[in-house]
Amino acid sequence: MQLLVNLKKYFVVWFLIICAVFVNANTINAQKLTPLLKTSENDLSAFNVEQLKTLIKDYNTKSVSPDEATREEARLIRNRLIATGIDQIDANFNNFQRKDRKKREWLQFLLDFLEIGASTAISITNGERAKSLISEGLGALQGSRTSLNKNFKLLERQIIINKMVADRAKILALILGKLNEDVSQYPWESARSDLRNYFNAGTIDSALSNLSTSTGKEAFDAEENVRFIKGQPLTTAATSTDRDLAKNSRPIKDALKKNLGDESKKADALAKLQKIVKILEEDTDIRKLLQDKDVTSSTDNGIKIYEALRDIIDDQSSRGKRNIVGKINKAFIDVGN
Amino acid sequence: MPDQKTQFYQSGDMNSVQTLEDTCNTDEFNILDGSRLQSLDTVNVDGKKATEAVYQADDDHTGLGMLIIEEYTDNDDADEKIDASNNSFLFKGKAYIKTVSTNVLVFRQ
Repeated sequence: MQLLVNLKKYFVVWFLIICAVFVNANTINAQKLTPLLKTSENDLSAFNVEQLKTLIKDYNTKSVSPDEATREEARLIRNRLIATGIDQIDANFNNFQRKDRKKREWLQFLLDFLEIGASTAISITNGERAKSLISEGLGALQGSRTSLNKNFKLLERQIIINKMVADRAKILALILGKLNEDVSQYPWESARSDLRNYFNAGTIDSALSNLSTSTGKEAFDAEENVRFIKGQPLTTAATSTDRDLAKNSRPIKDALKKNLGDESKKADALAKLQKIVKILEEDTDIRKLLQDKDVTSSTDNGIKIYEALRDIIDDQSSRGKRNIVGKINKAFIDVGN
Repeated sequence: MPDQKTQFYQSGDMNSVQTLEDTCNTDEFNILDGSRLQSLDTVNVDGKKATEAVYQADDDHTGLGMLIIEEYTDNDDADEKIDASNNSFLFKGKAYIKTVSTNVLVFRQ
């Protein structure tokens, strides 16, 4: 009699587990590759196919132009394509996450419900592998759950999703950091490759293969609660040499600026600034920056020269071009006031 | 020329408080034709951690002392360091040091 009761009990348990397995199996769906990432020219975004066809054609023409302004247009087109790709991938991923969470939560509730009275319910804790969470001595159901988890990694699902979120955030940061790069340095083809990586980072296979001993806190760190700012350049740290060049050139600059406003001293100040520009013109990058401001060593307007150098220092400091700033400061020091 | 400028320092670049100090001193001398650091904060710029440093233009930079930056753990620690310092305390801020958000005190020498 007791045997019959036990058999009936275990049959119910196994029946429910088999149902759970069947439902869970449907959650593991391969994510389809978003159309923008396919290499076939016929497979473009479902959002606005014709517009994207036109954009890509326009990009292909403009990206190889010798004219800088045209290549700049190509850069903007590339960035627009990137934004579209990110938008599609995010939409796919968010949809996947929602579907997965609902089914996962339902399964956990079912399994926990069947273990009412057990000493320790199995709980999902970020950063802990399934094996470490499975406690011992809970009977047949626990044994069943062990094999179930081993096959389907139920309790690792949150860890996997955390990993996907963190990996996606890192790759997105990488892509966004390249938006200011010229199309010759970061062509659309490279951007598309990065977008494929971004897409893949949101897949279970990628997360499992990349999963390390890092905890679920990684996802939180990647999305810290700080102010979000868009479209500003990041700059680099300065060295003690940069600091000393900046410090020692400051009084020379201040004196030259002051002398430009003094009728008896402005000619001398102009001569010194022209000499500084002549030194800097030997550097190809700095010569181009000066030419963009219509300044050469022949420029006879001291204020124009001074302001051009000031603005170049400001701009290059923001872009992490500390070597250029250092050269300008050194030229000020070498010529003196 | 604007009277204020903001720099965004890459979090991975700042490997020590000393490096942050050197960077802020460099930028005070360089940008806006001489400026003063107003604030330091941790932000996210296009998905990347960064330290935001706001500089105010300063017409008279002559004789201005260098910035001194120190790390602190909590408010008690901050109060102790401020009291013990011979330098002028400017403000409390946050910065990424080795990509970790760090509380800092900024003084003027």
